Amino acid sequence: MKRILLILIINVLTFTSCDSFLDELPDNRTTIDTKGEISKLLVSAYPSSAHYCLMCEIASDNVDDYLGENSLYSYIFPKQIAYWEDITTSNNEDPGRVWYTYYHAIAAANEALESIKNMGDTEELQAYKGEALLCRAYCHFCLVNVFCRNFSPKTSKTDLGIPYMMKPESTLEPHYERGTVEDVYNKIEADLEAGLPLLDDAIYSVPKYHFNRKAAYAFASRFYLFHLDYDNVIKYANMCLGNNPSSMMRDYSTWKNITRDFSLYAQDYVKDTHSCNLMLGAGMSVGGKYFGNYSTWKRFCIQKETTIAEIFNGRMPWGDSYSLEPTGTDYGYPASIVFTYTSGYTVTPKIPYYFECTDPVANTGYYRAVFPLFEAEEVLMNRAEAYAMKGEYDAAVEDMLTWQEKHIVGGIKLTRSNINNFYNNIEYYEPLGKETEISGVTVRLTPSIKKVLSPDFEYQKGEQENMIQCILQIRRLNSVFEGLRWFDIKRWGIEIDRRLINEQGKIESVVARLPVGDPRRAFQIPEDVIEAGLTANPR
Amino acid sequence: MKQNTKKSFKLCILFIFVCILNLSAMTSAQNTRINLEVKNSKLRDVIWKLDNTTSLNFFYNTKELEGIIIEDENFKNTLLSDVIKTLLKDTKLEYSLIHNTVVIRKTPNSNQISQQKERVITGTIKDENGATLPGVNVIIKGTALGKASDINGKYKISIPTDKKVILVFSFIGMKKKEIVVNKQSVINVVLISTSETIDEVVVTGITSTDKRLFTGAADKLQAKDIKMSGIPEIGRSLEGRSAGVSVQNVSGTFGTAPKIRVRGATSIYGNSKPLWVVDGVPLEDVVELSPDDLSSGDASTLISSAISGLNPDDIESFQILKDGSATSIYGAKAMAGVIVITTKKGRSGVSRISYSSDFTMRLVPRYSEFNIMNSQDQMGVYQEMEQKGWLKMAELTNSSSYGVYGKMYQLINSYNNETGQFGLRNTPESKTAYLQKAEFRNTDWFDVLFKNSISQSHAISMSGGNKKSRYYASLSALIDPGWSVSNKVNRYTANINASYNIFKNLDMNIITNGSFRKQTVPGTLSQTTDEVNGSVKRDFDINPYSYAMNSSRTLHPNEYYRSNYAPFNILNELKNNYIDLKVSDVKFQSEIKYKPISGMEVSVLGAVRYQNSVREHHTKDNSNQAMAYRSMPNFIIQNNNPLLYKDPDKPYDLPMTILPEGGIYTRNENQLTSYNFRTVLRYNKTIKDNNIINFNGGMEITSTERQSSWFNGWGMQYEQGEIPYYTYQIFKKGVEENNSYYGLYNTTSRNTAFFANLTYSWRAIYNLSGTIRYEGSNKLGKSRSARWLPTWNISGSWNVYNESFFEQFMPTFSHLTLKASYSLTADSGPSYVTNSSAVIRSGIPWRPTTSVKETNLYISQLENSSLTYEKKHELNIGASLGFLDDKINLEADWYSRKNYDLIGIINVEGVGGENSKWGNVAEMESNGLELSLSTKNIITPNFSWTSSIVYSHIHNKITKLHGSKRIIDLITNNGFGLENYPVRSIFSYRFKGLDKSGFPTVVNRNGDITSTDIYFQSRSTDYLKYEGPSDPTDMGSIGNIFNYKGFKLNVFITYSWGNVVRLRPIFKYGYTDLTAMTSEFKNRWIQSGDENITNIPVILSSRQYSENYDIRYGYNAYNYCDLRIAKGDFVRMKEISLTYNLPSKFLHNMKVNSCSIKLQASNLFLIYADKKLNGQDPEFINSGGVATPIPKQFTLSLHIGL
Repeated sequence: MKRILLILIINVLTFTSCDSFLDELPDNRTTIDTKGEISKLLVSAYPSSAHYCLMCEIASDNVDDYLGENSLYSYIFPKQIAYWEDITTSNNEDPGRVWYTYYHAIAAANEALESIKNMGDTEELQAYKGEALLCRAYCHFCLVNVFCRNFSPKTSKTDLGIPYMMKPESTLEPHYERGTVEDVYNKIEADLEAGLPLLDDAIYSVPKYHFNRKAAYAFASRFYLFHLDYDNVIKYANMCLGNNPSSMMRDYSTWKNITRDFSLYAQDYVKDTHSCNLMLGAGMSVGGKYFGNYSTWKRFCIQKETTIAEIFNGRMPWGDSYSLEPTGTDYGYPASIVFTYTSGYTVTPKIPYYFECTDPVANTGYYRAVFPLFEAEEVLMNRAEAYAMKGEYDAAVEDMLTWQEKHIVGGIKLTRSNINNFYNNIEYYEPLGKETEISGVTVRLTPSIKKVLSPDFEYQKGEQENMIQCILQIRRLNSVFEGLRWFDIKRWGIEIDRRLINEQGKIESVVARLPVGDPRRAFQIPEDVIEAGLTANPR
Repeated sequence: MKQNTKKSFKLCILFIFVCILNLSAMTSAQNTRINLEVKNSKLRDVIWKLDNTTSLNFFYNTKELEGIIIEDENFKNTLLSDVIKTLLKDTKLEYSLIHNTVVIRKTPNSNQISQQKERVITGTIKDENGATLPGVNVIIKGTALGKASDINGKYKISIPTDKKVILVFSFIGMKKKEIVVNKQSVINVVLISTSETIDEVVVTGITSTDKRLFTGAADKLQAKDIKMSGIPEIGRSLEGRSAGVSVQNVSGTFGTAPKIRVRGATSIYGNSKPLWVVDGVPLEDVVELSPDDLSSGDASTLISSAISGLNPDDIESFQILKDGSATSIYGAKAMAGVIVITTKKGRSGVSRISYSSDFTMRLVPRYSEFNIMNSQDQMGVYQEMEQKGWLKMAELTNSSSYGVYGKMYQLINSYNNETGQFGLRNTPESKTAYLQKAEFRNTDWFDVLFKNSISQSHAISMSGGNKKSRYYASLSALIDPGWSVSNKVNRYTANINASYNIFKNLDMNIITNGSFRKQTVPGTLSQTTDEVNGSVKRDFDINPYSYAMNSSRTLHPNEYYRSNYAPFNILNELKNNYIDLKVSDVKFQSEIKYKPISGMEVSVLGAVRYQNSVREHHTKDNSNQAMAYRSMPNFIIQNNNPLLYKDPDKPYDLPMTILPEGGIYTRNENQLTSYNFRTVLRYNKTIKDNNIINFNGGMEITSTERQSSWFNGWGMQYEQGEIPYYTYQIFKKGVEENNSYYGLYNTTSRNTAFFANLTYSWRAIYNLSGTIRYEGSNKLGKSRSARWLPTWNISGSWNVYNESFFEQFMPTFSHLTLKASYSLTADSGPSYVTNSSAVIRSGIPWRPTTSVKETNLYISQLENSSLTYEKKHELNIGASLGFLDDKINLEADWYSRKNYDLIGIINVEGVGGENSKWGNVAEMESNGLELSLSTKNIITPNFSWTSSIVYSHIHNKITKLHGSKRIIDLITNNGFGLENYPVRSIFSYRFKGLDKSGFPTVVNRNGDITSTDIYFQSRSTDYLKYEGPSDPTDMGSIGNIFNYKGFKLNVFITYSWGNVVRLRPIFKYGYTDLTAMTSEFKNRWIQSGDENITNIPVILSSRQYSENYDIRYGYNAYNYCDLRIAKGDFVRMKEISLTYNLPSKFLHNMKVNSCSIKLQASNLFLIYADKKLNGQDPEFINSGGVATPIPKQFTLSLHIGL
């Protein structure tokens, strides 16, 4: 009996040591417990797969419908986006992928924050904490602007927000509440303000792919602009741009040294060495093809007529359109960089096309692209808009002028008066252009660049509107292919007409319209997500 | 009566030992002098002490010693014999000393014996193989008088003459034999070993149970009964042998595991493979492969079989544990059943050396078995292709691959300076002549690539033992020069199993196994699914079998054509592009058994196993695969060859080669180290003769470490003394494309378990048994609550035949047992779902240039704190019946299973960062029926005929599974599951006939009939047609064995039905002049109107294709439509063998105990298969790579025992 007892005792002893025996990790997965690991984890706290850019660009007023269903490039996905339908097809850049990509980055940020907390939240970890908070704030900011209505002092208290993730998800099938847009903005602001002072550029080996200080200020200026807090916009824009904003503008003169090749220009556009590029994002995107000289999805793109009227070649405050061909010496915007092709679409080298080949024999792999996420020009325009909203028109014009000097070759120098003159003297945009009688013949003018603004906040007609109109146009030119135009449309309550372009490249009719206040201005959250139980956007 | 048998059993053992010791005793023990002080002790204890302290062995009947007390004795330096004499002085006991064994027994009544007249009987005792048997107990029935046979099997016994005497011959493992003595004075006896005797025990690996007390569904198979000669991998011979066990030979290449299922699939994403247990130790696979991986033909399948290192001749038996009552002792590993292998051990008193060898010749496949076009018909198709603009000179000469046409153009273009002539004159006549030659070529690729070589295997084993120790040792060698020109395998195994009885109550057993394998197979890359185009493909595939099936017979076997922009000749390629595999596997195992008190045993088992496999893929300098990396004969090819490298930093440069010299040396290494430690306490007790209690309990710790590493050596110059030469661009390209040139992956799996099993039986009539196991695994994370899982079973059986009322039915109704069990078992699910804590991995995010690259850590799986084991509830009801004195035996089992908590995918709100997650969300149910019927049709001394019929039916259905697979996964050969369908189901596009142009049309996701708008990555599936499961629902075998004198004829047929098979995907938008077509193409659409009479689509013209490239989707969808499916039903003549045992008389002169010769034909033909298959083996999945079908083969086996 004693022997049995002994055996039992041995067994009990082994049992107690079992739990630690089983604590061994099953594979080479990493646990986050050093500074270095946190820094590497934060590399994935940025969206790395689908960006909002493509979706938002197609939904905006930059694109029109070439030939409609007769187009050879009738893919369902871009069509559903362009017509603001709920997306039922899958694509690498569909709302589901965007949703997942941004939340995946948030998960990494939260995991990092959790680890920082577990490691004692020490002094040396503060810079990483700052980065994680910025990442978390930025990703939620993108999501709330894509999937919710824009911030509005009137309705944000009740508009559906998105779940704001403050810690890593740990259960299989949790259910979330969406909260309100205001909630989300408040939480973004809290993270942003907490994170900003902690940032330290010295921790980054590739600063332009991280929230370096300038990028963070740029984000802050965009955030406060959307949040209608103009003093903060100016404050952070100042911090970002410093005393000499002009030096941070894109320098097209370097393009003289580049062989005239679309892809080389595009690759140069997203180089991290340019001071205008504050932050870049690599992604899995067909953008390089769609925004390049390929037939991909070209049913919906910047059509010839649109670009002539509203984008690169429209009548602008600084004058009429300029030569589309490079002059050889003058490299400016839009003169040398707009490529228009015979079938009617316009592209500009901005989003480079890369192909990550995973199987060279079958030639299959992933489309890759790099998107400029923050540029100095946008920050400058954020500040200009804030000045304009505060009635400081001189300051606003000065910023516009800074931009004009670097981007427009020749033309009339912008001043308060010629901006006012220009906008006072043109008609508001009509989708098919205004019919006018010239010398007894009825002609149709191209639609103007001046769109009716119906935001949820107050602004004055007259000079304030004129300033805003000009700033919005610069923003539109500057952010083409980046998707930011969609947010401006939402913020400023601009109606969009989706127009049919005929074989001659002419606007034929309006096929669909997205009125101000339409719930479709918030993309429907992904089908799978709704099915899984999250509240859908109203339709 | 019971007492008597016990006694005689003991005596029997005694005589065996006496006999053995006679031989081996070396010391004269009776001269030993000892000191001993005895005070008021039991005689038994004194003897026990003597036994332990002296070198003498004592034999006695405990009962006879009972109650004898030695009051006071003191021996000092006394002769041992005197001590014993004194001790026994006043008892009715006497002793005799035979060498160093002291036998104590009751003094016989001397008067009785001496007054009787006696005579002497002598004889020799042999076993059925003619080997002499020493130590056989020979007893006069009704008395305790007896002798044992000597070393030569001879015995001598005096018997009384005045009455009828019956001699009883008995020996462990042999059938007892009684012989009535008449006048004869020499009685020679042959004892027959009984498998039934061994059958009495059910071995679960951890413990063994008396069969009468066993309550579950299990099948015991003797290796010698099922072993198929010439098949060196024993797992394959289980096919059709046991009801409920399916073995699908998805590949016949040595080392690849067949798809084995015990009662079908138990998991949706998991691998559903049974647990192998060898001599009590669970065997881990060195690589964990999914069922799809098994049939992929990838090189990793070569090490997928855990048991390929076992020599079939070393295996004694298989025990297949099917239901939860037996498997729940393995708990969370045993959801898919357990196969317990017991290897051979030495036996006391039997010294053997035996040698066996197999010589196997495989038949080369013939074109007549398949429906592949001969070269005349093929040429006719090429002519049509030429007319349709496919084989144009300008395009073909710069295309990535070509056959005779391209070769012809190349000859026309090549000018020979010396002869001043072109390789071929560019005239219609010479072209026609050239093509005509090809037309009549009819190359037999099977003849070129396969050979009738003889594979040999040799095994030698020695075994022996005595009272103290037993051993079994063996060596084997398999030398297989290969069926095809590029397959070769040698395997060597060694095995030692020794036991030693240290003390009476302490046994030790050690087992050492080792094997080494060296194998060569054709070089292969991994299979990939091109979900965009909807096809499964493999680059640079040179598998001889698929090459013969897919390559045009117009090609000349010695000519170089083109593939991947480089010259290609299959024989050259096989010589220059191959994989060398070396696998070494060793296992050390030891077990100590200790019996502290009667009925109780404590055992401690420890085992260490190490397996290392090194796979070296040599792509030599002159191989097509290496040359393709540097092929740029002209500007066009330089721009088109996708294997050339375009430096992104030098945008104006032409693509360059990254492999200017040499070949590619790729090395993969897999290592497995597993540790296993177990202690078990067993306790058996019989209370008041009627109540039997068995208890087993213990704990087990296992740890398995796996390491895999790989390395890509670019520029290995095989032809230049194996010196590497590489360019820096290789690394630059790697960095740019996120490809590493080496990798390392380590995993550790740890398990701890506690288990207990209690069986209660009343007179072995009513049995009740319960098992519980509590298991923990590190896979389920640090959460200390989630990682532990209890599994259990409760079961009972009723041995009706033991009831007294049953006797009235005997012998017509000779046996009846009813059984039932209910259990919970589990499995830890697919190996890649381990996210009980967040899985964070490192990677390199894509960036446009190296200057902005950085490495990262990313969350590859979010935490799922509720991750748990996949579980299964199973109800099993069984009966075993015997009729006509057990001439007919029927085993029947019915089961119903509910699998829940299965791993599946669900869509979630995505807020955590994942749209869909793996979790325990799926459920399935299955049920089945298993019948095994064995009959002894005719039994006469010279002739016997026995039959066995095995049948099983399996039905399963997924009852809960969200999330769906891509179409491409549902339509290909393996299929996949959807809710309300079987676990592995194949679906088809619905074919809607050919359209007016001869294009195939199918229904697409929008319900449209189309040839172009088909999306293989779609996840909506309602428009597909369900064809059937890919796993058979009914299967089994019919076996007949005829014995006539020394001859034995075995005819074994296997069958299965209920599944569907996808026909080879042979249709494409365009073909090359390398393609071999099937004769179906003869009925193709040729002209308008043909769509009414044929379903074979048109061969597209190159113009039609360039007008709409999407037509290629239509052709691929046609491959996966409801026309291109066949039934998987088959009846296979698996084995016919004739064995001849040489008569013992003849052998005796040659000092040989046994000798047999066997001729066996395996896999001869399919008695039935769906005609649509046209020679395609319904079991084999022709995926290229290293996969080859099981060949038709003839084996000559020789077995000699000394």
